[in-house]
Amino acid sequence: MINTIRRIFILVILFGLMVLTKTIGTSGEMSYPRTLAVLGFIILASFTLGELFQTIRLPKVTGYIFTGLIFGLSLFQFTNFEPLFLINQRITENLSVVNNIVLAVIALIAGLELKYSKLKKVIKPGLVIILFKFFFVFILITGSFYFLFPVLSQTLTSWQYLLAGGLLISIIAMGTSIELTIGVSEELDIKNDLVELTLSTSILKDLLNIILLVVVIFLIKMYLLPEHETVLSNPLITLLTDLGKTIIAGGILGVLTVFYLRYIKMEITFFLICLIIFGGYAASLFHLETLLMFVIAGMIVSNFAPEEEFEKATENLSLPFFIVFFTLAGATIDLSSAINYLPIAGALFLIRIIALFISVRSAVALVKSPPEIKRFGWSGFISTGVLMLGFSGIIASELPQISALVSGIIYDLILLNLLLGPIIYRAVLVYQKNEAETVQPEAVKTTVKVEYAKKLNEVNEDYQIAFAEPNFYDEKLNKIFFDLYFKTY
Amino acid sequence: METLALFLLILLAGYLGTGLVLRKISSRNFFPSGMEYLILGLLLNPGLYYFLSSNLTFDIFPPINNEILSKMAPVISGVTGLLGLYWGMKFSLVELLKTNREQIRVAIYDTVLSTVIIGSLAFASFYYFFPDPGNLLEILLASYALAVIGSMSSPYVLQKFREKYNITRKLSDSLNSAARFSLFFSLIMFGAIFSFYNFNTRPTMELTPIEFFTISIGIAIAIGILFFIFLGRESDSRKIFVGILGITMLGSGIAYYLGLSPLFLCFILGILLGNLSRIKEKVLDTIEQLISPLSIVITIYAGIIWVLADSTFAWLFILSFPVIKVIAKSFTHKIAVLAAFEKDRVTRGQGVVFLSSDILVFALLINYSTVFNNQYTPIIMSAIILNVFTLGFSSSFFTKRFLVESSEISGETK
Repeated sequence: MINTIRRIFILVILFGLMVLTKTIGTSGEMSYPRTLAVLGFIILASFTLGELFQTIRLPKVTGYIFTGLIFGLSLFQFTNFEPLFLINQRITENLSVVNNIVLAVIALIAGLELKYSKLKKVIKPGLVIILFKFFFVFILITGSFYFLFPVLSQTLTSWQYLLAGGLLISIIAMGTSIELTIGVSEELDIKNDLVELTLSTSILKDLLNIILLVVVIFLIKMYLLPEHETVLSNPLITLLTDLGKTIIAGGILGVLTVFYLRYIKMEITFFLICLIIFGGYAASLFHLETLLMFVIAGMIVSNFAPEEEFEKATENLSLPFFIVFFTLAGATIDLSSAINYLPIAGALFLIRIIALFISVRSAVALVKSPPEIKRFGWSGFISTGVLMLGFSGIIASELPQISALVSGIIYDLILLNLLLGPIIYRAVLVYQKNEAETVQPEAVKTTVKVEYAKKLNEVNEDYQIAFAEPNFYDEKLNKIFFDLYFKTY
Repeated sequence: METLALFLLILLAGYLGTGLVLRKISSRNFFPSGMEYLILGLLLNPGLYYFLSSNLTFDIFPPINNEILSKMAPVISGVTGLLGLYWGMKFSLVELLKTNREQIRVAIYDTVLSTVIIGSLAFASFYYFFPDPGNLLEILLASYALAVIGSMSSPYVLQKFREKYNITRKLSDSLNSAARFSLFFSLIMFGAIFSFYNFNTRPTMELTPIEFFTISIGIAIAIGILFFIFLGRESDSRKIFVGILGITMLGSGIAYYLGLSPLFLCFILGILLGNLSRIKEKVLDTIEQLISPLSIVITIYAGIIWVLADSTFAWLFILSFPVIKVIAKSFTHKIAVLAAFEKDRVTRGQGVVFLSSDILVFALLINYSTVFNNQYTPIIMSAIILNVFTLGFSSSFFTKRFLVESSEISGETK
């Protein structure tokens, strides 16, 4: 309770300071007059609201998005209440550099997870699950979107756009949040096979999702959008060349980082900031895939350099950038469109759960995992990760015509998964724990019975040995009998 | 993105290129570390490229132009804010109360008297000899800023000698402490200039400078309270990092928007935290990881934004400024020695110890030039940079000689 009041008090002081600043200050001739103050406000207010949301068992990320909703354009459109409108369009544009940085940071963190020693253990079950997920999610989500969208939105859209939209939403549906999974399992203090399985597949998923996004965007551009159709004569070679260039660039970045971490080893945080910003800029300059490039760089660093300090610096740096990124995402949500698309997003959310259920059950049956994983494994894959919001940004810049169609649905779907995913996962973990506790007494009884039966058998055997029919021809025994009979009487 | 990428790439290249080589020279000669970055900044200065282009037959385009500098201004304000927070946290009120009174007296003499002498000379020069002096308030503020920034002392050189020769005697201890407090007092005096900015340039704002100064202190205290509540007794390093970043951005951003000094506002905030927070050490540890690269950023940026003065009179004044400072410091410390109650804590010629400047002066210069942009700004910048160069190099020689003559460095010491 005290903590809640403390956090509300922080928000009140923050808001008061911003109102005071707005009242007594004038922009003058300065460049970006309020951006820095609003940036500080975003970091502190979102973090505090995230903690408040955590107390009611919602992910912190929802708190960050909610801060953006309150202080951004989204709420202002409905209320026209000027003092709350702190994150205006100009500030969002000024801070847009954060989006690129966040993507690079996410990719770098994902890459740092790809250690050979870790990969070796999880590659088989991980790949099988991802393969099944890919198969079922793509078929069910793309199909559902294709058929549901015209009915629920009451609009006529060309089949190419519908298919492209379905494919893009399927990629979003492939995402799983490793952070939320860890968060829920840590909160409940559970570390069982189910948690292990979810985490192990998450190590691989970011890399594969990124490659998938690149390929799908490329395919959509080549085959589904008429304006791009005739641009390239050999699309496959172009795709491979693009990927190859990105991998080489990622390799160079990784090798440079390894060199720095091995031989220079100074001001790691400063180097990291330079690496991310310069790498991001180079990627946009040479039309490379930022995410893939940084995943490759991270992978090289994690396998060839002493990366602990670098990893720690990346994690430290990631939090403020994540906060700003999610808040800006919340501030730019078009609330009316998000509300309009809620029914279709809700339907897709349910279909995604079905797809996950089928895919995880089938995959687990194939790799012969324990029965509880077969029953509950799907629940760990519902919550969507940070990366998916980044994906929606990439879709918006790469395919603006499709993004206009699906961005509202994507936002809703991510929000539903973010809000309900951890709740469902938590419920399943609690159910599994309770079930294990209720099954346990029966098992104890059975064990006791078996033990008794075992002891009885042993006694029976001893009895049979002790009271077995004597050998009447045994001389020694006959002598004892003779002595007993004749000498006693 | 382009701006930031370019700027950071240059910084990294500069850091690796000049830093690794020149750091060794600086550690041998004891000129303030960071001078190499100032040289790098000067090499990147757009003015240099315009000058070269106008004197050569072909054009050379500057790697960093004025547009990039304008975009970087809020970021740099945030960086100066973090430096202010760091120095504020180093200012211990308990230490101030426990320190020998003589040291405090020397520090006050050094801050106030030097400022008065340099400021008066600067005011007289600007008012009587400058071709087109402008309004009185502008001259007053420029003279005051030049005096405060120019007279700021740094204990850096003395500390280095104390470490090297293991000096623990009373006199050097006393002077070291006085130089530290003098630096803190100068920072507080510097913050007062900004209250006049809105009074001077924004007549629509109906606040007097005193009211504005009070408001800036009030805002700093409010942010300090916010920081307390936000962090409490936090031990999670990620949350501490987020808190520091958020608070510094907020404080610097508000200061930048209101035309106050981000460095001063965060300095006050730092004093609050440093003296009251229970997690002071953890906060300081986190900031210290950033201080070194950010100081480099500040130094290079100061070199980049340096604009040369264009009149002959201005150059006469700039070139004579190091001499003015030496005279002012010498006179100030003569008075301080004469007025001292404990004569064993002061000595003749101690003024040389107070001649060197810290990298912090570049942060002050940047803060000043962001808010006050008039005809005197190039003079102030040039005078201060020249002062850092000349006295920065010579002060190690003079300080060492002083320490030998005053028997602080002797055969007994290592």
